[in-house]
Amino acid sequence: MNSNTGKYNFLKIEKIIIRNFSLFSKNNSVIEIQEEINNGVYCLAGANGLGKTTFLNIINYGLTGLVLKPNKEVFSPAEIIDSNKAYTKRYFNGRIKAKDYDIAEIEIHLTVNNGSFRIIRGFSNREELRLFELYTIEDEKKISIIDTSKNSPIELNNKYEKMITNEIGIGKFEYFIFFQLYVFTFDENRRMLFWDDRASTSALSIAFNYDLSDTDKIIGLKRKMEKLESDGRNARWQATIIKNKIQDLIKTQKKRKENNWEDLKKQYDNLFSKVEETEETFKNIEIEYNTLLKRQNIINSEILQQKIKYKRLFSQYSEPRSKLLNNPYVTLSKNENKCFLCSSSGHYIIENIERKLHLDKCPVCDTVLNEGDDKEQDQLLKQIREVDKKISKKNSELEELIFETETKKAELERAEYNYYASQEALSEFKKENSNIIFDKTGDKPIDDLIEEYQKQFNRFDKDSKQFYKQRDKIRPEYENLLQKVNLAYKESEEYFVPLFKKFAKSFIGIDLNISFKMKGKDIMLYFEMKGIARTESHQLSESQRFFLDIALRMALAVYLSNSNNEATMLIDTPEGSLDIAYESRVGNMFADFVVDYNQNMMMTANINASQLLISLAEKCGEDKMQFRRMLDWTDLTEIQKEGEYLFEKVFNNIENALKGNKHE
Amino acid sequence: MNKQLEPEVQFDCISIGIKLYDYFDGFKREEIQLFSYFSSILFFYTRNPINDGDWKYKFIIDDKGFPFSQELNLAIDQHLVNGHFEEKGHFFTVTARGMKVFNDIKDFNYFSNREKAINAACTTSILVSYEKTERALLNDKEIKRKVKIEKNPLIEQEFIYQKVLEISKKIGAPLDDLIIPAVSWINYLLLTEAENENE
Repeated sequence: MNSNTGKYNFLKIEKIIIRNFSLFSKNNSVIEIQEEINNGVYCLAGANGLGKTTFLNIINYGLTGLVLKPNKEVFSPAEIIDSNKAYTKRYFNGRIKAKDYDIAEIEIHLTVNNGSFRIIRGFSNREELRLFELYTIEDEKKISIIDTSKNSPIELNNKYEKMITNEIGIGKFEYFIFFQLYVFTFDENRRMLFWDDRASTSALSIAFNYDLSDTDKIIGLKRKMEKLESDGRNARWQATIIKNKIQDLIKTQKKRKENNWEDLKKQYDNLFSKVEETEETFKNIEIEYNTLLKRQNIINSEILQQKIKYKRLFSQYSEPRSKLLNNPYVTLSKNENKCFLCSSSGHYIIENIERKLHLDKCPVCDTVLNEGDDKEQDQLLKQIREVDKKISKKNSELEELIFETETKKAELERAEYNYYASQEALSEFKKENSNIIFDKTGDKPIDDLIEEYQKQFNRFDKDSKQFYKQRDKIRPEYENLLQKVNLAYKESEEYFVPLFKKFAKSFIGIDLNISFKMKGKDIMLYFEMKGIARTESHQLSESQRFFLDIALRMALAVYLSNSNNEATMLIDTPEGSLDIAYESRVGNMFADFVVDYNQNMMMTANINASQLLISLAEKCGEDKMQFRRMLDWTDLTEIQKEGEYLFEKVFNNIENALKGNKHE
Repeated sequence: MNKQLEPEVQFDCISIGIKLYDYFDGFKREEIQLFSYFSSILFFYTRNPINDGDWKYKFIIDDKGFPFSQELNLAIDQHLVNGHFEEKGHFFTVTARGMKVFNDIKDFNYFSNREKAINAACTTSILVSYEKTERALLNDKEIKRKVKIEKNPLIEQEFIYQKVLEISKKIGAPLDDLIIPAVSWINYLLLTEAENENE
């Protein structure tokens, strides 16, 4: 049934071998996965977490050296590698154990345009190939087309990229990557071409053209225009910011004039210098006051010293006969209450002795005692008088000092009050005039500032206009190229549109129409449902959007593929995003793609497989569909085991469906 | 020897002794105590709080209702031993040596404010009569009140001084002349004593 004469020879995967990929381990040893890929549908089924998505990502990695970041963004062909290479490196880290990292690899056998490719890519370096063979089979003999025996891994990769681009006829390896990852793969991130302006422009310009160099130009010019637009926008933004600043300054200037700014500024300056002045006075008086307090302490301590001296001297003075009183015989009498001379005893003894010792004569020999004693007493008296004078002088000094301190204290309190009052006055003034800036009038008058800003504004304004002007220069050429794409589409419409309509109808049940539209810089396909254009994604249910997008990709695949070089679509668990009502319809749509147009599909399915698989199996039969289970790929958890057990029944149904409708 | 005595207490003792001896030819121990106590109250007028501080020793009221300070008692002994005082029967007199010592020290700045208070206290006893002064001081309502509450209570001199000050202000006595407030106080006490008795 296939009568495709499309422009590209898409590749057909024949065999996949995955070695030392730690995720696929059983009983602690890594399993080598070897899968022969049949024509038609290759369906890999397994419980959640067994690695179905990883399997598809490994295949895409083998082919392109990339795994896409899990987000909805679709990058242009030139951006894909840079945007995803870091993620690619991270992606395999957890899935391959460190010990296996350098030996893990994917081997892919594929055919394109009668040539057979065999490549081996390690996971440790995405830019290298461990092996690249390109050969044909003639009389069951393998005949090499190129010699790669002396090439380094990087050279092998470069050669592979070049050769596969040539064989497909797609012009650039990055276009191949774009088609492989965004158009032919429908992964769990559910990116959509229909509703993404940038993605559809890239996809459509690769799909519809007279010459691939036009595509190159479109994508190149589009990037250039986007860059100029972005630069123009940035400059415009800068100009707007500056403009706002100018307006603020003008407002301030106006406000200043209104508020008699000069006067206010004078008032502000006065208040400010008042604060400075009172602060200085306050601090100075505080220092003086503290000095006086210190001086007081010094004098007090001096007085204390003198008083101690005074007390000592006075004590000596008040005991004039201490020599006699401390005579050992007198002391003995005192201790024993007994006269040392006559041995009489009694309490009066010592009192009498002491009294007599203070008389003018010695109580025993009658010698006059006063002379020497008086001299000594006079001497003491003189000393006491001197100390007395000193204390008195210090006391007067202290009194004066205390008076001075008290005066200073009052002065300090006044100064402190003045200081805080001036501070308060300043802050009150600031509060009252909070809308006016006094602190930062700067050396630069406001007019100069406005002038400076005006210059900046003019510069950004000019730049912005320049960027837009440059973009506008490119625009006619770009639009011309888009028109060419439009023309190419129109010429293919006759074949392409019915393809889409067929796929869409088998899924959605009604006739849809699509048309090519230019929207700004982008080109898009709009479709009409019941005569009303559905341009916005929210006008359809999620399921409808997903599968219409797949229908579009299928139509593109069929339209673009040359006979015997049909495309292979990679679809990850499609039933996950499907309403139950559509399950068998999607099965039918997929079957149409495979059976009617001889295309290929590698899909994964969850164990709770649905009517989708049954109807697909019924339509495809054993010839066109292979159903593989992941049971032996890895150790199962209890939950997975349970799931697989339940799946057994469904599996049998699918097997029966496959056997029951053998495709011819 | 007993503990070393403060110069102030020795000065007070000989100063009061000389005055009482001058006026009445002799004195008793309790009279020295009483006039020292009276002086200590008047001292609040004369003292310089910065230089002088307080009176240096405190009084209790003894069993006979007299103010008593042990420091002062020891100072009397000291003067007796030194030959400044002489015991004659029931009285003490001041010796020539005592006179000389007082003359030597009486002009010291150190004691000048005390001397003013002592002078005022002792002069009052002539102006009002010794008996009346003694009676008035001993019958002070405040002292009587304290004795009722507690045996041998400590006299709160400052509290009594505040009373003196209050009376002085009421009668308009000039603060620079100490004798007028002193006499007024004694008269006031005598008056309240009479009122108390009437009650």
